[in-house]
Amino acid sequence: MRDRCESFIPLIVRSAEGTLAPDQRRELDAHIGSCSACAGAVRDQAVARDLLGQLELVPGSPDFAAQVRARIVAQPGVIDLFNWRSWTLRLAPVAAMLALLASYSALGDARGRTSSTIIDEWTRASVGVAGLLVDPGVSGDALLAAGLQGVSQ
Amino acid sequence: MGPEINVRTPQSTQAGSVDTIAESAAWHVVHKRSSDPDLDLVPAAAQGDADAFEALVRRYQSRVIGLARSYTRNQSDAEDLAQEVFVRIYRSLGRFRGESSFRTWLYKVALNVTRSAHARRRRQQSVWGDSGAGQTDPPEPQTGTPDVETSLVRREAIERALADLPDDLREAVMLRDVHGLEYREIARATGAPIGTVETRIFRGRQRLRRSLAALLGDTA
Repeated sequence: MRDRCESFIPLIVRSAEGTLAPDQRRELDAHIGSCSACAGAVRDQAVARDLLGQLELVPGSPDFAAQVRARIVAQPGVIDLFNWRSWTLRLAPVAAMLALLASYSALGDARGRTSSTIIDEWTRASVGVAGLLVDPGVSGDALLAAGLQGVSQ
Repeated sequence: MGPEINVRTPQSTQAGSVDTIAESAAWHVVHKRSSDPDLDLVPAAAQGDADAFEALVRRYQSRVIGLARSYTRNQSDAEDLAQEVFVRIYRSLGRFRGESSFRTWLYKVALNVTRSAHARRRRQQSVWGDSGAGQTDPPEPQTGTPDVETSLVRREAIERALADLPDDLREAVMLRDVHGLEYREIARATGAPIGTVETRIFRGRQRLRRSLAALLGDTA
């Protein structure tokens, strides 16, 4: 195929698919009228595409999807580690608690507790919260509620 | 006969916690102008909904197995490889940003996994020799009508000719002429410019035409 013919490759491949616009069709026809190599390529492309179109996609074993499901369900902890969304949402309540703690530390509270007292109380509360943190069955709402309860005490 | 057309069966996601609703909202903000038909399942699957992911697997399993089979030429190995693809997809759902359709992203992951497995097998064969594992399926027994037998012979010949193509050409013609992907989808999935995709399709088809000349009963 000559160098000039290379520029017609996009039109030639699409001609086999029947997707050429009318002006593209005219342009290609004008070229293949004087280029037997490209005229042959147009025919070859159509034949090859027709052959490939005879290949059908095989659905696979009837239980294929169930087998995949069994594999992904078998390792929920590992998958959760790679699921950044679950970690982002799970840590959001922790971020909220830290923000509240920072507010208490900066402003003090009505009972006159110092920031170190607040931190000590929060640490004791957060031990219980930490247990909830790694429990995959605990929702974000429950985690936030437990954390706020611990901070407010 | 053209490639398989996916039947779109939208399924409503289960009402979930604030987490799920927030994630669904984020997804729909990203895709509000998109016509991605998989939006009915992907957000839920990304949240760990096994039912939603299994539905996605059913929707795409024939495509992924077909892609794997173009590398393995063995149905059993192809299904094993296809399972690896879907496990990788499940683990990577959190990284899907919606910059392309889910289908395009799925093909990109599938190509990466199948290419890696294929390269690994080639390295093992070069070191250990061909142990006989992963052999191509034996020819179909000739027990049908003449038309069925002819069809099977043609299919096997086409598959053999495809297997003989270089990987980049085989991928391009498979994705376009068997799987029906658009050129821009193939470009995104393979990481090649559209012009390169067009050239690969052109060359792949030309080689197939020459390889199958005998099947077609001519000397072209």
